Amino acid sequence: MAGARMDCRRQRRIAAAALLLCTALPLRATALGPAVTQETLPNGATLLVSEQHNLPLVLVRVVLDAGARRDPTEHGGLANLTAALLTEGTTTRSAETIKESIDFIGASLGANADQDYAVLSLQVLRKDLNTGLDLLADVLLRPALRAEELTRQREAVLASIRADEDDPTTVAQKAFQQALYGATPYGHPVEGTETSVARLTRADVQQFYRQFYGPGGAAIVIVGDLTVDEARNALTRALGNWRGAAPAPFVYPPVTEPPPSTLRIDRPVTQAGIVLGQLGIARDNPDFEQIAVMNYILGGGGFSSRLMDNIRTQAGLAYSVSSLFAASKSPGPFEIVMQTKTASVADAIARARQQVEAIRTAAVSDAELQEAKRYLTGSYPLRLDSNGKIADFIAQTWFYGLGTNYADIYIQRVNAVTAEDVLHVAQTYLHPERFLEVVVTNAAGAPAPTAPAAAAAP
Amino acid sequence: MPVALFGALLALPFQPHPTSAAPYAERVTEARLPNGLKLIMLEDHKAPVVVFQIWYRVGSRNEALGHTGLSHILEHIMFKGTATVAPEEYSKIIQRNGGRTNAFTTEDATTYFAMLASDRVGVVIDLEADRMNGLTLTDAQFLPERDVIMEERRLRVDNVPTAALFEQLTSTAYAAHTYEFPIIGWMSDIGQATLADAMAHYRTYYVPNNAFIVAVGDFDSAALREQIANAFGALPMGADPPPVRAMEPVQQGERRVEVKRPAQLPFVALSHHVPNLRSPDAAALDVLATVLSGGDSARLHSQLVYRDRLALSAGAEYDYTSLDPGLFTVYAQPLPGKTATATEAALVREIERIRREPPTARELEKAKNGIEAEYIFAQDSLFYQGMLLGDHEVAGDWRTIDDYLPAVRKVTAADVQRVATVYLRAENRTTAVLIPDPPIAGPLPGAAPPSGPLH
Repeated sequence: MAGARMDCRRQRRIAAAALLLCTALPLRATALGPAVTQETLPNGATLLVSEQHNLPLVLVRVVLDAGARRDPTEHGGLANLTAALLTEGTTTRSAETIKESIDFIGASLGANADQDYAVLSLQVLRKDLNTGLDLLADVLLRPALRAEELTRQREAVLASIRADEDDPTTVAQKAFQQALYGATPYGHPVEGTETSVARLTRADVQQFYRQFYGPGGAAIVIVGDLTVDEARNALTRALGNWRGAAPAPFVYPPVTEPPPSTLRIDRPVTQAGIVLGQLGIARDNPDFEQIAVMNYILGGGGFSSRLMDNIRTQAGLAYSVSSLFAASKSPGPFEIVMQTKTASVADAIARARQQVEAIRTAAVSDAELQEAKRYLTGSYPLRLDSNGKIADFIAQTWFYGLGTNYADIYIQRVNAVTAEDVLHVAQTYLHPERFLEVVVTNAAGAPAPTAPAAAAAP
Repeated sequence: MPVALFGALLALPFQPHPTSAAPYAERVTEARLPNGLKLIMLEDHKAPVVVFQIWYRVGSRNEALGHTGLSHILEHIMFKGTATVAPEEYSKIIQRNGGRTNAFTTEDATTYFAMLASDRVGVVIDLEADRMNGLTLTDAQFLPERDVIMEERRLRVDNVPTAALFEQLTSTAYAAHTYEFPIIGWMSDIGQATLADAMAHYRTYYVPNNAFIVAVGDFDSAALREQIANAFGALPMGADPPPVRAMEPVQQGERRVEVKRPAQLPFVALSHHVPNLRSPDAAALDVLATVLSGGDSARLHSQLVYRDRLALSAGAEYDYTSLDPGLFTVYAQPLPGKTATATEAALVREIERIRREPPTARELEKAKNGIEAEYIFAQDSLFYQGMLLGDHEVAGDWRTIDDYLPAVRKVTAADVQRVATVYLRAENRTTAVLIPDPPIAGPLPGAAPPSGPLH
């Protein structure tokens, strides 16, 4: 198998067309993506191993369905606080002992929650793997979740929330998210709000942990300098006692897109933070790759994108401007994000809206289409050029159910996208007349409220 | 901290270290073209990818009052076209070849890089050779880009209280050396910079004998050398750029600077003049930084964040690869309700403690283990290996990477205490304090209610 992969790489070096030849080879996993072995452990967890012997290190990611979407109503930040507390003491080790033991072997161990999932990560030298796994197992299976540590972590979270208020773009994004999703699970920041975090108790954390930190429905990703057998044996030894059923499947309540609105937040800043957008797509949307091509041309493609060209290169109004479909388990937002000096806010927003109208109105040029496709397919190896990226790739493709051969599927689907597809998805998923618009700016120096962009005739 | 053309790719402190793996001297191929352009090539075949970086030995260190930010301005306009490449076409060409590209400026250097599939490396080689002396610009491209850079400054400095504090800290810590200038430049200097200024800077510093190339990844060094020689060989060697003569005199007493501005939390930073890797003390200073700040069990986090519940974060920073002697900084951000005064006192207590008593044997071993492991983890990234080579080459010679870990291994607890005693003295210190003004009290200011439908 290793030989086949080598050959495959050499072919790719000769010509991009060889990518297609590669897919046809009978490889263990995929031609472009990393070779992955997948199995189900006796406790119900999925084990995904990718052997990478180029460096004497091992990366472990335990992926759990314990993200912020599981936060109970008015308890925003519970998933985040629970993840943060894992490494702050177990029934047999104090927080300080855990930190000291990890630092002593030059490793890192930590857990954090995302909107959809939580990940416990270990990075360790091969020679210290068992020490590292023992610590990982201890924090995963036996966290003490002590009240004293909860107080500490809550203080830190509240301080971070406070510090975030200095950044106008973060303020705008939080307000946008809240306005778009209201009281539904994506409506609050992962870390919660000052009000919700202040409310969280030890009992809340203990219950969240019991509910969502079992092996059923979890995956363990191991990438690095060990064999599949070594990985399985090391895990069986360290995590053999990990038991628990999968949590009930998550059901996202229906989201009604709110009416269009504009929200201005006054802050003493010299440059405004701007977010505009609407409800976007879920990761399992069948049009995902067509949307990726469309968004690359609109605002995802850096200097190749229309938003960057118009707002930065032509007009000099912003340093950074981009658009993004945050594709989550349930539909995430579509956002255009930019910053500009107070006096340019109206101009920059009008230009962004014009670009959205334009991509909905006329087909993109063949040159733009080819550029987008060549970047999205040709840059795929850059997504997989380190063990860290490989581990994240495997974790995400598993969590979103994309299949271990997703890299190849992605390339094929992107290559099949036409200009008509781009126009179709632009018209289907972009509705500027429904946009929410959030501007965090200095009211004292602000221009008159944004005039509605002139609607281009479709 | 580097200032990048786009995005905060390189904002993290980066200090990898040599290890028990084969020395870089055995893995790197060095070459030099007749025009003075140096090539530093590290083959790493784990992925079919190449990282290509071209480094110019010019940064804010080479600038002057009234003209600060010029190196960074030049970094931006290098994307504005040549006789054969249209404005901003550079990035588009790289991207349509499946690559990513960006650039960054530091005090000491300006670096342009691309990451591509290995069979496309010729694309970036040709583009870089073309723009080393082929830049053709008019105000039509220059003036909007100057506006973009002013937006960048608002984004990175003016709207970021801690960044504004560090800018003042640096400009206070240096009296005679050009490290006092912000890399991005003062706003008034950016606003008055002209295309002629930038082009003069370009002609002075963008010559093959003031540049070097670092390539890391999946290539054959002999073939790559040939490709680079074909593209760059015809460029003429230039005059040696003028040397930077400035030297910072010994500081004779503590300096203090306050920044009062809107901010949610205070911040305290204490910087000390220290030598760089040319000094035998560099390794001990790096171990000292790790004892103070290497992980959550290190002294500053453990004491100020965990035990005292005084700070949201606390740490130390030391970059031994600066070309001229730099700063050793300890810093902390107080939690809401805690004062900058108490936080500064706690930082000083930790400094005095390490000056009074050496680290324990376990602390010393932990620091060295951390440094060695970090070095191996850093090799997971092709890009960081390129940064490691480039940073050391800018500071003098990439080969000094191989001297570093042996030097770290020799550091004793007494060495750590000694460098703390010698350098972390109040007389050698600049203290900077961010004071939120107006003071923050009570709950956060709320958002205004929605103002109704847009259309």
